[in-house]
Amino acid sequence: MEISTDATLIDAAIGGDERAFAALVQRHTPKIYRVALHLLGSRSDAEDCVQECWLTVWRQLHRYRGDAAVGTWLYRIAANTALMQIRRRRPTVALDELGDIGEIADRSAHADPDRSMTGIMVRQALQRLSDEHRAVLVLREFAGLSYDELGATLGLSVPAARSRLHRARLALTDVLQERQ
Amino acid sequence: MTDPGRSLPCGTPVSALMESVADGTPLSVHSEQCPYCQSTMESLTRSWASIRSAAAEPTPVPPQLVPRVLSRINAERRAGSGRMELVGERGTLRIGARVVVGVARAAAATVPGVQVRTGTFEGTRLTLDLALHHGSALADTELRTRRKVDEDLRQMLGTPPPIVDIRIVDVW
Repeated sequence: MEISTDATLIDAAIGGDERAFAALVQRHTPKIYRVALHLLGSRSDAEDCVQECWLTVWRQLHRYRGDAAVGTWLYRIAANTALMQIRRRRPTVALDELGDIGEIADRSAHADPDRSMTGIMVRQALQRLSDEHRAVLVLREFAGLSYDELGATLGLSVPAARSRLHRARLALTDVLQERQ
Repeated sequence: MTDPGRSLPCGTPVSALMESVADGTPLSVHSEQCPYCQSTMESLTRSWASIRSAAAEPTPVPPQLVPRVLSRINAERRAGSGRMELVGERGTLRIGARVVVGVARAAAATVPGVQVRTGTFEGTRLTLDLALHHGSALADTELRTRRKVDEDLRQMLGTPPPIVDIRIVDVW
């Protein structure tokens, strides 16, 4: 069976092919959900984010010009959707009200049986970072983007993306070392 | 908190060691032998192991997520093709169904415990598919959602809103 490329699928979707759009959704939802989950820290928020992201993609299909890879374009929309969601839901709980990361991880383990305690702890530690730091870390470490893709997704030059990533990594290790 | 521009007493920037730990870039000859660099490398490596381990874990996608996305896109496609017409003395006001659905979705989403899955507006009926937070009182939440949607649509349209059908399709 012929496997369509992203570019073929998106061309067909722009032309109104509903099955091509559905194939894109099937193919990319796992990665988008993973990014959303680590950016937002909650499964229900991540599910909302994925839905909003695909709606945006569907509404903006005609704007896709092919100057970025489809995956990069999708990640950009996903990251922006998640960050908008974070801004909308603030103010919620102050960081110091969240308590110790370990306690949160203990509580979350019951609600998130698919993940190890380490996974939950890291996800909670990510929530303690600034939006900018969390976004660059999640896209690099959890979605596996290259430095070039990071720059394109975040609208930064490659050196700027690299520099932000360095700061974010150190910030995350600091949060984790507080716990260790 | 670690200053991102911080350097060790030997002059090596911590960020250079972090890059080596995270990206596997080779260490300088100096860092290979320097006790300051080695000690910092050990500490960063320990912390980074947790991140690597978390990143290696699969993230299962909720089984209903893709069907829900496609259902919402289909709803949007259908909603986008309809419209509502209000005939007044000075002429006709046409409102795209997408606008009506958008206002209704936004209104419903403000009700505590409610997540909107899909919204459609066909003919004279507006249909909202909702997920309720586990533990929400169904009848009470449905009533509050209906009131809020009705109120916002009435405020926007200035006329009785369409018939609103509410379906509870999920729990979160």
